Amino acid sequence: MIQKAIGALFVFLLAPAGLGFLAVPGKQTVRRFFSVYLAGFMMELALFQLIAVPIILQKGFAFPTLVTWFTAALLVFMAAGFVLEAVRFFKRKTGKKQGEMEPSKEKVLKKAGIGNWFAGLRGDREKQNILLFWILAAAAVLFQMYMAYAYASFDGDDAYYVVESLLADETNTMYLILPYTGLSTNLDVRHALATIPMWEAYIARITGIHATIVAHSLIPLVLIPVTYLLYAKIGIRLLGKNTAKVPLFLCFVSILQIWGNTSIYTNATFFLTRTWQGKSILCNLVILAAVWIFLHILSEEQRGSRAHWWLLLVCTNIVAAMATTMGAFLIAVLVCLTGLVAAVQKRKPVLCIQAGLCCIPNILYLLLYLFLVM
Amino acid sequence: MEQIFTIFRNFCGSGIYPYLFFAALVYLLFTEKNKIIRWVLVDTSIVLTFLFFFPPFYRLMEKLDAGTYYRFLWLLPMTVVIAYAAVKLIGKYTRTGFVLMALLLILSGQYVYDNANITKAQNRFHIPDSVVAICNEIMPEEGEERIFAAFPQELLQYVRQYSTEIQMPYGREVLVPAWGTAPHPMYEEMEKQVIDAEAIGKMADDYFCHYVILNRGKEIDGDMKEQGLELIAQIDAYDVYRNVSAEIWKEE
Repeated sequence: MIQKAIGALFVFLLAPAGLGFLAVPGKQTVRRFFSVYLAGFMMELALFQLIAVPIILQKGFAFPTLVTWFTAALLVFMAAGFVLEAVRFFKRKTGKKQGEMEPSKEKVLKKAGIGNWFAGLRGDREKQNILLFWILAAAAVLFQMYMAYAYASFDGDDAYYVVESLLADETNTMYLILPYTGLSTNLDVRHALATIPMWEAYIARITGIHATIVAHSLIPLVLIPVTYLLYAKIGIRLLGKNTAKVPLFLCFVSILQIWGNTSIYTNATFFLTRTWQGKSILCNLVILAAVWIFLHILSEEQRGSRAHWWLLLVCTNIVAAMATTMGAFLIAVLVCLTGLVAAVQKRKPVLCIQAGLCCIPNILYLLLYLFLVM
Repeated sequence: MEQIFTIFRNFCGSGIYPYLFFAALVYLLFTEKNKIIRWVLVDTSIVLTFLFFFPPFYRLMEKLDAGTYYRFLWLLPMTVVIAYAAVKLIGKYTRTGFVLMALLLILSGQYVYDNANITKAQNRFHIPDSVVAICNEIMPEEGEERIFAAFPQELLQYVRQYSTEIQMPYGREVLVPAWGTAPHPMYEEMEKQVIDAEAIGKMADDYFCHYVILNRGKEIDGDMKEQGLELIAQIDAYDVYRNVSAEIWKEE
């Protein structure tokens, strides 16, 4: 039980937070922490892909090597992230001590405002609406998490992907055994370069939880709220000053997901019936992350360097390749087209070049794939 | 072009969300003042939609990865655009507007949990309890080699999700004719309504199966015991037979 808790805490909370601190600068606010977490989550996945692919290509009993290297890399980056954040915190604190000691009037008013928010709830229809929609939005997300845990969704592809995870955890080999029967095979290149099943095997190894339980019961409990967190961040960017309407936006998103099973192909169907599979991660988490990042990169309110957002876009591109081989191509189309549209509209060709440069990992990855297949 | 429209219609299925998405795009095209949002959500979506319906692009994608063209539609941020347009559209009339918009979305969609493939989970593995019980029954003990077992069709996809210690002479590949896998003789025998005990006994030996699991609903022609298949357990709707001629190797 302790191993499960520590393992899950490490992979799903501490490591993403530490990595995110490296990428997202800013003040210590709750809103920034969510951005830090999302950035760190994407970086963790990208880091896994970068370490996993060369190790998988070595063949043999390589899974323990992957576990060791990835854990070491996570620990190093996580520690660096926390140290950097601590330095930022103390610098800010020291700066404050040397400067103005009294909090500004705006800050005092803001604090009082937050404190009085609930007190003024009774007579204020708008506040009641905000609270109501936040409750509805949270309940909808919790409902989807409960259904993902308490209900089983049958999908034939699990006989491949989930068994690949289990094979890695139980045999220490990766993509060298046929999942359907158990017979030995050559390295399955088509699937071996998309390493989501190995990430799930890693979680199984670190937490000591059976890989099938990780895929079917644990991963949805993480990916569903993380995806909604991305929706919330996108909602905040879209609604700007009307952030009070973000819960309303999230309620509509939930409805579109829960009632989005109009065919077996929709993003919503993948999101709630095959949450743990790479394809679902691509068409939900990865595409949303790209939209969120572009809303930041192009924003004119964005002060200072945008380098960390471009870096995050590179990570998102790598995660797309991790999700499915074709994902590397699809996300590159999205990134390049968005860059092109922004470059034309903003009359700033450099945006298109920057977007293209972010896709270099995708090009290298697809070249590697073609080389291995041929 | 007809093929592209078919792919689009299949993607839409029984709902109208993609059409609502196009309606939302048009709405945002005329009302959205924030140019960043226009570029990222509206303009990019229009270019992506054009590309999707562009036949040379379809032909290129089919060459790259046949049968997966629908995935290009994943790039359209449908949920974000519809939800955002809905919030903008209902403006200040939040509660009434929400109820009306929610009704529109609910009535024009399909409830995911009505999906026939979603059932109450019997355990945290999300595989049938009977598979877990059968696998526990035949699982090799510590120090024993992996075993082979032949399962009926309905259990094939679950067995190795529980344990990779159990190998199978045939797996999911026999269930998907589109993959063009050659028919497996033992699978064909196992799926007959009346099972020939002699044929199954011989195939269990030929494919080194230590166990054979049969659905009790099937008739058996002949005596399984005479063929070396000893009934060792009855679990839910299944009979578990041990092939006594297939030895399980054990580390000394």
